[in-house]
Amino acid sequence: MPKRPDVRKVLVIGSGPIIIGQAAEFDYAGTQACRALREEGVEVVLVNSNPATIMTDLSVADTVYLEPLTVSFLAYILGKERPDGVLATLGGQMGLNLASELGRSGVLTDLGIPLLGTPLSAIKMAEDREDFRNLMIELHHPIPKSRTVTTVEEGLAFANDIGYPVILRPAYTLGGTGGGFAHSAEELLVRLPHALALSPITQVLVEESIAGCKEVEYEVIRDGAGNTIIVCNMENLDPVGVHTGDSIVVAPSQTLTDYEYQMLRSAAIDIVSHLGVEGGCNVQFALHPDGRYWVIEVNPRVSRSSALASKATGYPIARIVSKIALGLTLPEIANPVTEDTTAAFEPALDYIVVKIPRWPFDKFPGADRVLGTQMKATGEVMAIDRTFPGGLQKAVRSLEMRRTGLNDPQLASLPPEAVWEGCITATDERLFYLAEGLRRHFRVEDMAEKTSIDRWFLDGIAEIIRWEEWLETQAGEWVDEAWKIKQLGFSDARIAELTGSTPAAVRAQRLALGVRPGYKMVDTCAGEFPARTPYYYAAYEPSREAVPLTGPKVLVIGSGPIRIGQGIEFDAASVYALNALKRLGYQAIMVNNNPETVSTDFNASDRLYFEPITLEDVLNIVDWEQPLGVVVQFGGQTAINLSEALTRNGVNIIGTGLEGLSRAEDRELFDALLGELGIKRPPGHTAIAAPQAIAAARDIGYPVLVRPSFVLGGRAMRIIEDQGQLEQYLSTSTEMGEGQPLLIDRYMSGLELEVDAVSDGDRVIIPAVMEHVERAGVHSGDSVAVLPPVRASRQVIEQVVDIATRLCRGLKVKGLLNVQFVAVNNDVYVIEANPRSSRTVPFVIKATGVPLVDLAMEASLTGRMDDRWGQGLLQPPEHFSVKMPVFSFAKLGQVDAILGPEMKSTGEVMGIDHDFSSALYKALIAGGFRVPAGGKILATIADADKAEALPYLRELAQLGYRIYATAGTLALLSSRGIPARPVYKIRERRPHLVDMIREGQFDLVINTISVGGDQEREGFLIRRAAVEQGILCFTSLDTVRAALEALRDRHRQTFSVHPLNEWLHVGQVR
Amino acid sequence: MKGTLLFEDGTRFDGTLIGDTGRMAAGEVVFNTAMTGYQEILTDPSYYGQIVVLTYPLIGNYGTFPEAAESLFPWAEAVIVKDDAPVPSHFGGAESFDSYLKRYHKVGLSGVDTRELTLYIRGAGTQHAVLAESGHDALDLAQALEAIDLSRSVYEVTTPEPYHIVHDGPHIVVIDYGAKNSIMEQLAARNMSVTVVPCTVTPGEIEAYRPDGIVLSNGPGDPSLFGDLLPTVKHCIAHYPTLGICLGHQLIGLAEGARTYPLKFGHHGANHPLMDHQTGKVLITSQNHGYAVEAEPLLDRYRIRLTNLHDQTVEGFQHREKPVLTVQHHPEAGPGPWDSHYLFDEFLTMVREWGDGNHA
Repeated sequence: MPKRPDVRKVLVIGSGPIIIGQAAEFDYAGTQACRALREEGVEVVLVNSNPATIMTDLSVADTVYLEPLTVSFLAYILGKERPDGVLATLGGQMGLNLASELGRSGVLTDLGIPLLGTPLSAIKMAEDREDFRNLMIELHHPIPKSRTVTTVEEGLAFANDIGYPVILRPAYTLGGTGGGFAHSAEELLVRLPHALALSPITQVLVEESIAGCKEVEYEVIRDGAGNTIIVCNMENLDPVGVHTGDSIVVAPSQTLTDYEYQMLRSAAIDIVSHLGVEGGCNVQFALHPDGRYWVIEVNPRVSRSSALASKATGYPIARIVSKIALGLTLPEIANPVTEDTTAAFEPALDYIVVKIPRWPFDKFPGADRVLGTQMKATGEVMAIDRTFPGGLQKAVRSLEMRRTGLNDPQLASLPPEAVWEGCITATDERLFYLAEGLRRHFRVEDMAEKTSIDRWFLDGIAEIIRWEEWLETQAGEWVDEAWKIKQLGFSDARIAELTGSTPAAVRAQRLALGVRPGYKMVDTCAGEFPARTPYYYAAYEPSREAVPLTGPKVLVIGSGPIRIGQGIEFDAASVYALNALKRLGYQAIMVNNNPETVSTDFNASDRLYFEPITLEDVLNIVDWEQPLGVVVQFGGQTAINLSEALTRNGVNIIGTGLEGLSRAEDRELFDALLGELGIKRPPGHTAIAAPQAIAAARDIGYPVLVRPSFVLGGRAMRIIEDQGQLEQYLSTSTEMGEGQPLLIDRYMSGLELEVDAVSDGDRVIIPAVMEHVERAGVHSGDSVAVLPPVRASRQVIEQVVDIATRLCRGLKVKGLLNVQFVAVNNDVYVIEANPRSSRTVPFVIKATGVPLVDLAMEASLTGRMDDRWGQGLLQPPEHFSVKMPVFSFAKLGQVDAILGPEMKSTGEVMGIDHDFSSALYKALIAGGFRVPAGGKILATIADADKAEALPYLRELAQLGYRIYATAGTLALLSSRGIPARPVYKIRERRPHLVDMIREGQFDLVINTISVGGDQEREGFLIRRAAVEQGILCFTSLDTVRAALEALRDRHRQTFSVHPLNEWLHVGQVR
Repeated sequence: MKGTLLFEDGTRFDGTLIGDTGRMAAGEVVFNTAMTGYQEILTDPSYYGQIVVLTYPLIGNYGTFPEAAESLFPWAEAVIVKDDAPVPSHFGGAESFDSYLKRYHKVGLSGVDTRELTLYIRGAGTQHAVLAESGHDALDLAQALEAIDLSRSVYEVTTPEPYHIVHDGPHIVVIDYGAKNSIMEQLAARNMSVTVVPCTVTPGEIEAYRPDGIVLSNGPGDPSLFGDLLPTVKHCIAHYPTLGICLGHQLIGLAEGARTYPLKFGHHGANHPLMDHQTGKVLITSQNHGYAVEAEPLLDRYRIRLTNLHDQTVEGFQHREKPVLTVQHHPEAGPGPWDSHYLFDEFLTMVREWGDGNHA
C-alpha cells in the first residue's frame, strides 16, 4: 500500500504540560513523529502548550504553535492551517481526548479534515468501558466479572456467584474511599453496607478479584493492511493492583513459558485487530500462575509503556506509527536500526531491561506512599544488563536516591513484623524491604506466597544479598570473584561499603586486574544481523563490541529520571547540546538512563550509552571513549554534582571550570565573590549543625529562608518565622550533615527576577529578563513568569543586567549562568546563581529565539561566541511570553496544594501574544483555568491578607463573577459593598464549602494560607478538594492580581493564534 | 567445572559446565534468538547433532516440565547459555534446567558471553565445534570433531514404529523425519486422526494406511543427503493432499527437481517475518533451518507462497493445481508465534476438498 498521496500537510497534537502519568515520553514520541513525517515529505504543523520540549523547537516541525491544547484553540489553528490530516495518537491521553472531542464536536467534519492513524471508532471502543467489555465477551477474552449493585442482597448474590475475594468499588467516591476487598461472605456483609452508604448514588461495583496475578503488557503495532506485530512484552515485578507506571518492570517477560507468552501475544493481536487500530496499542493482561488470564485494559495510542518498549528494544515505535498513519504498511517501512531489514518483525532481545519508577515522596514527606491504581511516579529509570541482579542494581543507582545498592540502613533496626509489612504493602520502598527480608533470611517461598511476587524475582534479589554477605565476610578475597560481583551489578561504592574500603581503591584494584565493562549493542535482533544503531550498555563480559568513536568527540551527561525540580527542561537542554556539538563538528556522545526522553532516542546522539549517571559509570565510559571532555552544564544537578569528582579523576570539564562551579555553589566562596564584586545579597549564613543554625538565624533576624545547599528545586526549603519553627525544621530535616551545609538567609519580600545568561568569560549575552508574578517566597519553578518584565523599573533591569554580567565574568563562566534576583524598591539583591542550564532555558529559547545552548556550547568549546547576537541585554521581543506552572496534586493524596519555597510543580505551559494580558490568559487556559463568564469563585482569605484581597475581589465582582465567602470574609465584603454569597464552614453545617467544591459548584478557588488552628486544617481540605475536583486553586494573591488582568481584558480582546515561526520571524511566515 | 567450546578454527569460548558434566559433545553450532521456549528448542529433533547457543541470556527461569517437550527427550547435542536459573519458578513445580540436562545426559556450558559467540557465528558461518571440560586432551577433541557425522540424522530421530492418535476426522499420515509434537497437536486439534510413521515408510505402506492427507515433517540435517527418501515423497505429492514442513518442504523441493543450498548461519528463532503472498499479510514465524530451496526449477508447477522478508529466501510453495503446500518455517510453533496456525486449517480444507472430489 503506497503512502497516501493526498496527505501533504499534517497537524500533530502534543500532550501539553508534564503531569504525573503524562510526561516526557510524549516529547520523545512527538519529536520522532514529526521527523518521520517530514522524512516522507509531509509538512508538519505541531501544537503543544509545553515550551520545555524538543518537539516545539522550530527545527523539528515546519510550523509550531505554542497555544493552549483545547478544542477551541485547536479549531482556530485547524481553520487557519487547513492540514490534510490530524495525528493525535502521539499526544498521550490529552491528544486522544482532544481527537475525540474534535470529532464529537463536528470540527473535523466541518473542516473536512480526517484523523490519521487509529480511527475514532477504535478509540471509542477501547476507551468506553461498556463497549470494550462487550467486545471482549464477543471475542471470548476473559475480563474480570463485575456488576453494579445497589443493595446488599444483590451484591451478596453476585459475589457468591463469582466466588471470593471480590473488590468493592463505591461509585463517585474520591480516591476510592470505602472500597476494598471482601474475602468472604461475612466480610462482604460488613463492608458492602458501608460502601453503599459512602456512595452518593448508593452504587457499588462488585468485581472479581485478580489481585495477586502477574501483570504483563504487550506493545502492539498494526498497520492499515492488518499486519500486526508485537514490539515487546513486559512483565511487572509487582503483581496486579499496582499501576504499571508505579511498578518495577522487566522486559522481556521472565517467568512466562512459551505457551503463556504466545497465548497472550495471540490475544493481544486479536484484540488490536478487532478494534481496528492503525498504529500503536498497549494491551495489559493479568496472568494467574495457573495459566488463566484476564484482559485489564488497552490504550490505543503510544504511551509511557511504548516509550519504554522502544528504548528497551531499539524499535522506534512512534516513528513507525507515524509512517503507518500516512498509509505505509509495516513491510514497506525499513527497520532504521539495521537499515537492511524491515519494520515488520519482532525484536529479539539478548539482555534484560529493568525499569524502576522515580517517585516524588522525597519532596512530599507527608504524601501517602502506598501504591495502587493511581500512578504517583513522576519519572523512571531504565537499566540494561545481561542478568537481573545486574540490571536491578544499575537501575537502583540510576534513581539518584543516594543508594549504592539495595541498602537501606534505616530498615536494619526494624522489628521483623515491620519488615514483613514493608514487603507485603506496595510502596516506593518495597524493593528495599524485600532485600532486608532476604538479608534476615526470610524464606523465599514464604515471601513469594505473601507478596504474590514471582519467586524468580526474589531469587534474583536473594543472589545479591548472598553476595553482599560473602563480600562482608571475605572482604580480602573480593578480587578473586571480581568479574562475578561486577556482573551482578555491585557498584564500586557498594563493594567498598561491604569490604571496608573506598570506591577509589576498589576501582584501582579492579582496573589493575583488567576488570572493566565491555559495551554491547542494542540491535533489535540479538546479534542475528549487523546493525548500525549507536546504542550501547555496559556488561562485565570480556568482549568489547563497541569500538570507540574516532575523531573529536564530547560526552554530554544527561539529567537522569524526571523528578520535581529536575524535569524535562534539562533533557531538552541536553538534546540542544547534542545538536550544537554535531553542528560544531564534534561527535556527540550521550549518557543517560531515562527511557522517556528525546536524549535517549536512537538518533539523538552519535552514540548513546544507556547507563547510570554515577562517577563510576561515567568514568568507565570516559576510559573507553577517551573524549576531549565532558559537558556537565545541561544535565541539571545530576551532572553538576559529578564535576568535582570527574575533575579529580583527570577528566576535562568542557565549560565553566570547577573553580567557577564551586564559587557559585559554595556559600562562603560565593559571598566572598559578591563582596569582591560589590553585589548585594540578602544577609545569610551557612551552618553545618543545629546550634550554629539557630545562632545564625538570630544574627540575621527572622523571617529567614532555610535550605540545604547542592539541591535542585528547593528541596526542603522553608520560610521560618521564629526560633520555634526553626528548631522543629532542624529536628526533621535529613538533608543537613557533613559536606551538606544548611543555608540560612534573610527572607526578603519583593519582586523576583531571573535571567539566563550565556558567556565566554568575557562577552555576556542576556537574551531577556524574566519577571515573576508571585513575590519572593514562592519557588521560582512554581511562579508564573513573564518575559519581558511588566513591572520592573528600568533601574532594576539595568542593575539585573549589570550584576549578571559581572557574575559571568567573576565566575569565568563558559556557557550558561542562571541568576535569580529579588528587587526591594529599587535595590536588587542576588538570591542565587547557578552556572548551568536552568529550568527556564527552553522557555527563553522559545520566547526569544536566541539559541542559548548553541552559544553556550560554542563558548565552552572554543572560548568565543557568534558575534551576530551582540552582547549585553538583547532587544526585548515585541511579544509577551508567560510561563505558567502546572501541578499534579490530584494524583498525590495528602499533599498540600499551597505554594511556598519548596517546588511542587511537575510541568509548565507557555502563553504567547502581543500583550501581557492575552499571553497570560492563554497560559492560564493552557494550565487548566476554566472560568466562564459569570463563573463562581470561592474566596477564603486569611485575615492577614484580607485588606490586600479586597480590591481584587471587588473587581472580580464588578466583572460579573459570583463571589462565595465564609462569614468573616463575607462580612468584610458586604461592609465594603461588594456583593458576595455565603458558604458554610466545615464546622457550621452541611453542605459546607468542601462539599460544594466536591459537587463541582465552583469554577475557581482562591485560598490564602492561615497558620494554626481549625483554619489551617480547613484550608488544607479546601485546597485538596479543589485539586481533586480539577479546579484551579490560587494560593497567592499575586496570581489573583495577574489573573484579574487577563480576565479584565478577555472581554475586549479578540483572540488570534500565531505560530512561533511568526513571533520569532523565522521562515514559514505567511 | 570449567568447560570450553572449541571450534574447528581454534576459536574458543569458556564457561562452566552444566548438566551431565562428564560428557563431551561435538556438533554443528547454531544460535537461536527466541526469548522463550528453551525446552521446546532442545527437544525439537531438528536440533539433532547440533550445539545450540541460546542468545537470550537468562535460561531456565520457569524450569522444565513435560507439557513443553516437543519429543520424548532433548535431541540437541549440547546447549550454551549465558546464565541458567538454579531454581525454577513454575506453578505446580518444575525441574531445574541443570537437573533436566543431567537426567537426559546432556551437557551444557553456562556463563558464556553468548552475544560474542553469536557475533562470531554470524561472521564465520555455521561451523563444527566440540564442548568438553577445559584442558581436555587435544587429540581426543580433534578426533571428536573429526567424527561428527550428520549424514544419517533423520534415521536417528525418526520413530522406530508407527503410532496412532485417533480422532474421527480425516486420516493423516505424518512421515516422521523428526516431527515435533506440536504438529500432531495441531492436526489433532482439528479433529484429524493421525498416524505417525517412520521416515523409511514405502509408497506401498502409505497406500495401506488409506490416508486422506500426508504431512512431511520437519527434521534435522542436510536434505540433499536424503535421496533415499525421495521416492516416497514423490508418491505422496502425486497422490495425496500434502503439507511439507521444514525438511518436508525441502524434500518436496528436491523431489520436484530443485536443489537445496546451505544458508550462512541459518534461520533459528521466533521472530522471522514472512509475507504470505496469498493473503498479502505478514506472518511472524518460528524458524529452524540451515538450508533453503532454490525456486527457479519449480516455478512452472508451483507458486511461491511465502517469502522471508529479511533475506528474501523462499519459505513456502503452493502447487498451481494439486493440493500440495510446503512451508519452510514452523507453523505449528512450539516455540514461537501462533500466527501460522491457519495453514493447518488450510491443509484441512485441502484434505476435505480432495476427499469430496474423490468420493463424488
